[in-house]
Amino acid sequence: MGDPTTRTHDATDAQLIAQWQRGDQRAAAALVERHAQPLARFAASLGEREQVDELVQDTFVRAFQSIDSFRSDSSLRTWLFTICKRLLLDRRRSERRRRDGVELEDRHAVVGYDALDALVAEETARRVQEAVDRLTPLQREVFTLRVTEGTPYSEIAKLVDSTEGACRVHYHNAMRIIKEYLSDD
Amino acid sequence: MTECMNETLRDRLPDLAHGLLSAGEASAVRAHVAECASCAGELALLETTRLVLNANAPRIDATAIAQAVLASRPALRVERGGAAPSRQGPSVWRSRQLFAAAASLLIVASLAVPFLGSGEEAEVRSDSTLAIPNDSPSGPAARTGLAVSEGLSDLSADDLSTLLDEMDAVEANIAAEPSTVRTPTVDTPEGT
Repeated sequence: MGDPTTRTHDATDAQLIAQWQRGDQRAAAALVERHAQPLARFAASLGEREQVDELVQDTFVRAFQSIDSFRSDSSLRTWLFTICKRLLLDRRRSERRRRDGVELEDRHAVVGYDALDALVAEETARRVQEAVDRLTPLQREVFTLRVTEGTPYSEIAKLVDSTEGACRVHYHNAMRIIKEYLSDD
Repeated sequence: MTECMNETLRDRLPDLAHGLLSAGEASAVRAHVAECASCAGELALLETTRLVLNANAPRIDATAIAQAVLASRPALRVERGGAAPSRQGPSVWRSRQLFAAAASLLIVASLAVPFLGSGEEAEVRSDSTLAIPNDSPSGPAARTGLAVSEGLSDLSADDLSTLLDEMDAVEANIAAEPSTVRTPTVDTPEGT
């Protein structure tokens, strides 16, 4: 039979979804725990630092509500990223309406990244983060997905509504910019 | 430093860093990295950047989020058959269920005609719809609290859906306790 915890841990996303649809809430919890932190990283790559846990929670609520619309032509994580991005855009639209003057998302540069907190002390780490922050939003999104998640270009292209070729170009441009910034020490 | 011209291998560096390559592919990429200073530097930068971005990402409590997600949506129950509740209108499958439910109720109601005990007889129309008096104390529709006025054909989709849920509940009870179910002996009225 095996330890149920081990089964959940080793199960694929598709298996966990099927288990949850049969009523196994542990499968739902396993899906959340598997994808929550990557979602948080993705949100950060889009420049979001505030109420990230709420954004991640809302993403999963939406995902579980519309699990029927999930098609296996993309990975579950990519699908979750897509939901997260839509929610983030909705949040920013709402904030924009309230504040009346914030730039549209496509031109929304990463602002507000303060100096590293005590957890990251290395000078190299600081410089790397600065370099990533200098990227355009699209470059940063593509680069971060490729570097932190190993997301294939085919999936990235769906997320950013572009082509694989264009995503490759964005990635390599981002890498070049980061290298140039770090070599300017 | 001149960038490596082998774009195919450069593209595989993130895959190598994430362990996404097969053994053969990983071996080939590592062999190239061992001979290419540009790719070796890029691989090191990739790994450092990954560590930095992961370290700087907002920290969230995934367990707490999981609990909150499951607790906040009690309606995230799963219907029999594995489909989650949909916010949209009835699916084709659902429509067929409703139709089948209506047909089943018609049969059940027609069989129950002799057992309506209020003293008022139900009228079975020639078009097979069953007219049950509003104050009928028995019958499946009365059990659910629905006001059946003219006939089953007048039930709304919502009413039929409710009846369907009732039928599901009955079916579940039958599945759970088959020994307690008595099959009634009914004389089928002629012509129905």
